[in-house]
Amino acid sequence: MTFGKRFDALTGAGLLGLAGYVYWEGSSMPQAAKGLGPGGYPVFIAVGMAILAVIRIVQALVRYVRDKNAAPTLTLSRGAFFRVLWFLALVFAYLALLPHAGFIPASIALLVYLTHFYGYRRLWANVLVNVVFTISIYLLFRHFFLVLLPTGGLFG
Amino acid sequence: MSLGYFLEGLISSFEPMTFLIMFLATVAGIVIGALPGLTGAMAIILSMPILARITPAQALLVLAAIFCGGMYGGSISAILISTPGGPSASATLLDGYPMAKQGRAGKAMGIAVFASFIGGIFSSFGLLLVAPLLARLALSFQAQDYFSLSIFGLTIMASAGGGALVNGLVAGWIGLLLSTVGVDGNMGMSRFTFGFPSLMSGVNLLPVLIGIFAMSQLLENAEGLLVAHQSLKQDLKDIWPSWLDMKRISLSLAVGCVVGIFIGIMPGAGGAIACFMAYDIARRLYGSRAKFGSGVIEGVAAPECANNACTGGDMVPLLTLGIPGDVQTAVMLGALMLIGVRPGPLLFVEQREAVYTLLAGMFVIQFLILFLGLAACRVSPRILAVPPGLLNPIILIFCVVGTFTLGNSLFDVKMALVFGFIGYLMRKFGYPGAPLVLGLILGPIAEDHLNRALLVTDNDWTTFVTRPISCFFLILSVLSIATALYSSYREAKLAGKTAAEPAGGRG
Repeated sequence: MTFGKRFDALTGAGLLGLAGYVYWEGSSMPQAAKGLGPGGYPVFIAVGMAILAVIRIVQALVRYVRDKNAAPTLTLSRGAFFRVLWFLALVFAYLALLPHAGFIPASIALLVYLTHFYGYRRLWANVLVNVVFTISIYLLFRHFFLVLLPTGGLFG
Repeated sequence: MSLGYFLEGLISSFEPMTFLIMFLATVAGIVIGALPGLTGAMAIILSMPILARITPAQALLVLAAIFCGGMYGGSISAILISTPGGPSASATLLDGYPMAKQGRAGKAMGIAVFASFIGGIFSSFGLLLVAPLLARLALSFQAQDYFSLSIFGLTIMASAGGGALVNGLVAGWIGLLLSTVGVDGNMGMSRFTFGFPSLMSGVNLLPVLIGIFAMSQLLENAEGLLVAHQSLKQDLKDIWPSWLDMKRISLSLAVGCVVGIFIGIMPGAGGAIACFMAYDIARRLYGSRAKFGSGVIEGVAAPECANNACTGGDMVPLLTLGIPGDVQTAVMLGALMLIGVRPGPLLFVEQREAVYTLLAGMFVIQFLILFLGLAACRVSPRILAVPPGLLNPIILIFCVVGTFTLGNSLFDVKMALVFGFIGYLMRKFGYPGAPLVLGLILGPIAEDHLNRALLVTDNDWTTFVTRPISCFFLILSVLSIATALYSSYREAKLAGKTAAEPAGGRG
């Protein structure tokens, strides 16, 4: 996946759109006779953001005019990006599972899988370290910091 | 400076619990600083659950110990595996790694510890002498001055945060925008909450900090398989520098101390700039007496002394004005705000005991670094052999638990994950994370002071340029942007020249 000058211009356009929305929202809020009122500060931010967006677009256009064959801003490996998305999906699934399964089982499962995912291949050491770590963290937070991590159905 | 307060602070820092916490924080700072891919900012974030449960004085000491320990720890991996633990150790590898290749890693690490200690002691003196004076001066600031100071803080962070200036400013402005989410302080009207009740109290700082600085790093590490770093086999004897070594590096130490403290106090410039500047100045001053780059102890001492001399200087604008100088101090600012300690001139009045415990504790921390650093020289190959595949998931759980403890809410953890992905994309596209966090921190302060200034002056916007201190900060803001633009223009021109030269040669 490559991202070049067009991406920079698109970022600028997106930012300009966001600035427009914030300006519109801020302007429609009640005005104060003196001082800023609730909308004054968002309007102030929107104006600054619009200026930055215009600079971003102009920069992208100038770069395009100067060198039409310039190297892309960023090249992302598709495989690496999918690994990142998979990691994110796993952690979201873990968070969804946490209240039901409880901290200890859900965390051990996630940790053992992620340790393998990151490239550590010694399974028994992986399981041992992560079981000891998870239980220690649970006990530390429960008894020392007095924070009750989700217990789920197992201990609830 | 009052000697009485300082002595009281010194006694407080030797209380058993405080000393133990400081000791453990220094160990954590050195270990995390030594591991490539884990930054001092991450170490500070991981300490959050502890910070919330100790006194403000102890919290300040923990942050300072992690900061200073991490600054030294970066040199270990720079010397042993040619990979600096953080940007501030980048110049250390120029001579440290060649020394390791010659089998003299023990000597290189010994010099690094000694230089770090000297730099750290010098920076502690700087902090002790300069910070209270600046804080007294800052007590005369009014609303206009604070607003302009916030803008200045944002511009320096944008220009120094890495990447292009416009990217830094965009990130900072997004941070300001995020700070407007929630119920406004004037009329109690909800802004940009999109119907989420959890957003009524605003975007919490902790999930953003954890997301932008810690989770984004874990996501970046997830791009591929991680392998443990293998260091060269070393004979770790002869670590402590001899008298002759100390004589040889004395000029490097002097350069490092002066450059470090000067760069540190300047907001926006941090250890990374100081280490290269000190290395370059020392190289010129030594001339033919030391062949820099070939593995000389003078080349290790100058940058290591400079980056540690920076630590105290970095904390001057943070503590006195509430303006951080680099990413780590930005995270420190966030951490302090979360535990209810608001850096600024009033800190020296409201939390005098805590501040003087920090000022005195900084000296104790340097001795801890010397002691622990010498011990770390012996075990450092083992520190670096910790499999990153095991370490990264454990850090993830620390992030999850740390965020959860904020309000016993999984919503905050999900927010941290979302900001982690945003932070990952920002890293990829060259948008620095620090200005975003700083924008979120400074946003409400800037709004409050802007509102007050306009109320007092009947909506007279010229008050920001007619009040001298405010005008001074606005001029500094413009200058910091102009300087950043000029240096990026020069870099682009230089890059163009370098690219054109080989082509010309062929033609």
